[in-house]
Amino acid sequence: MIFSNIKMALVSLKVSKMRSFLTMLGIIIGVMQIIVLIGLGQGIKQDITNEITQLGSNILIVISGKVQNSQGGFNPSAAIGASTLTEADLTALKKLPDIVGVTPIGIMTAVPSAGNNQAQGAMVLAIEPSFFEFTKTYNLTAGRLFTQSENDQYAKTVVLGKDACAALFPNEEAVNVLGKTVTISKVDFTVVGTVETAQTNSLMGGGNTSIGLVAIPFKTAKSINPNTQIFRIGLKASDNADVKVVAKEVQAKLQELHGADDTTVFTQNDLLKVVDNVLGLITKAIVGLASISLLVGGIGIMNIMLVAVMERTREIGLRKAVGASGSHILTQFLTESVILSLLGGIVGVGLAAVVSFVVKKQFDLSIIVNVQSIIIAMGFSVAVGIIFGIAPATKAARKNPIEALRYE
Amino acid sequence: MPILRLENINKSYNQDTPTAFQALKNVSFSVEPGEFISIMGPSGSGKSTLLNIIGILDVADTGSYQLNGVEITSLGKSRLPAIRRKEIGFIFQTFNLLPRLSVFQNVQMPLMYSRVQSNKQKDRVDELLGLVKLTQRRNYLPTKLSGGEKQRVAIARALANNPSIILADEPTGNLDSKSGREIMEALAELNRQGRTILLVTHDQNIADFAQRHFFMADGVLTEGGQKS
Repeated sequence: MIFSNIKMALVSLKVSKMRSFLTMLGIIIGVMQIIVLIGLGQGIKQDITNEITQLGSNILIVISGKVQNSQGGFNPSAAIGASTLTEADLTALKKLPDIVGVTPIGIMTAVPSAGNNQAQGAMVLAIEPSFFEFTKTYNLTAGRLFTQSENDQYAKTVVLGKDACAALFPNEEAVNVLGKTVTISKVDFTVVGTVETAQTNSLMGGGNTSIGLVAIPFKTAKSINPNTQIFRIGLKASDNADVKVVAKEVQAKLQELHGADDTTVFTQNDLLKVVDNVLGLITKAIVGLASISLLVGGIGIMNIMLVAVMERTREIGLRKAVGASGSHILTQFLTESVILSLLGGIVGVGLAAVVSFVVKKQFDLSIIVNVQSIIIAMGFSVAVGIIFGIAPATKAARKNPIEALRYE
Repeated sequence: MPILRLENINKSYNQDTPTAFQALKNVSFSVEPGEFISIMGPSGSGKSTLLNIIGILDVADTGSYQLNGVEITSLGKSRLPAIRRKEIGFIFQTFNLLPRLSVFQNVQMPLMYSRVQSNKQKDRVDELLGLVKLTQRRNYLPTKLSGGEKQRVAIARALANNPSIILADEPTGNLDSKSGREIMEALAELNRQGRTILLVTHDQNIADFAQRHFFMADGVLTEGGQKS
């Protein structure tokens, strides 16, 4: 019987192809959105997770503010406000027994320029050479990175990220940019190297920082603008140290120095947890929003099924006359509704594959389309077919056969 | 034992309203196996109401209706479709074929609801299409058939579950006289083979194919009554 119902449903859909397609459109878009958004969330998560893992398990990151709220959850307001991290903190942390490396990350508020060109939106980082060693995610494309002695001697050297380089020196090969001048806060810097990265940078809080990277020596930045803030400190624990213990020692030392518990120390596991929490929440939220499309699609299906029940009243009467029970009719119309949404789901999966491919190619974003997200999306679409098919199918099943047979 | 027996069947519509009317008044009659019965009467006389009650599409207000010894009026609504598909075969004036389905699928429909195995469904439909001489039209849509062919498909569909009785409601009403005669000859042949047929018509020439005649007027059924 179920096969006959499926066959009947396909016959009905075939009769009015355009109407069926338009009805499915809501489901197609909804399923596509769910798969692409879940895929995008998982792609980003995987990129960040890979990068954090690359950092090494002995790397710790200190940020200003308490990122965890009192319930242990994520506190997004922690990133707002002036940083409480200071150079005195750097000096004190270097002296901790289990710390073998410390690198500050400062941000300077400035728009770099070269002649008439400006790198709008560029991030001017005030860093020490050890930064590149800590992050491991920047590949040198030309020249060199600045040295510790240049940092110590307040040298005016700069390393440019790929996109900042393109903004300041359009149509120039990276190698031709070396030795050219970039002006930052009215001070001229000489380009000594260019870098690029396809990886995100968890030390910077995620995101592709090569887009607008303009890196200058930390001490030079402080000499130009004493208000340059340290917004992250990267720490490297000794290989045989327990990073959890080290994190507690660092936290205690900073609390002692600041007289308040106003910083957060992340280990690799903490970072992975935060990434998992934050991206998990974001993914759930956007999938929730995408599900609205499916609900709208479901309403479309219900609407069309109600029209179909009305149009096929005589058919319902006839089927009852030849022996169909109410449950036969209910099953038939419910099957049609589910087939409609299921076909929409299948087309949606196909469309999601196309959109994912295009997004991946055109926007260089990672999208992971896996079986799980396809099953979730298809499950949603079938559920929509059942939920929104029940009312029309029940209406059909309850039709009086005599009145139905007389319907014109 | 009669196939069906009706005793004092009453049916009213719009009770307790100004438009209330009694469609059937104490209708009693019985049908023996193999009979060909006609019921004649003017429009609004209650013929269709009686046919609907006999076909278990409607229920009487009072009275007794036995079909093959089963008291239909005492059964719950949920049991009626099963009895309808097993015992009753309908032939309608307007054929009532589903336009989206082929000839084969239209005839197959009652078998599907009876949960007959699919290979047996196929054999039965082919047998029935052979009986009504439409084997060549097996995969046609109803829109490609003539009126007479459509009604022959409807006859095949009515016979699908080998019912106890065939109820024919003005089966020639939408046909030209030649096709109408062919359909009536087909029904008469089925009757000769032992089928029980109850025919509702207002055409005396059609009614003449039957062996027993009833007349209905104002909800009252009389046997061998006046003929128009």
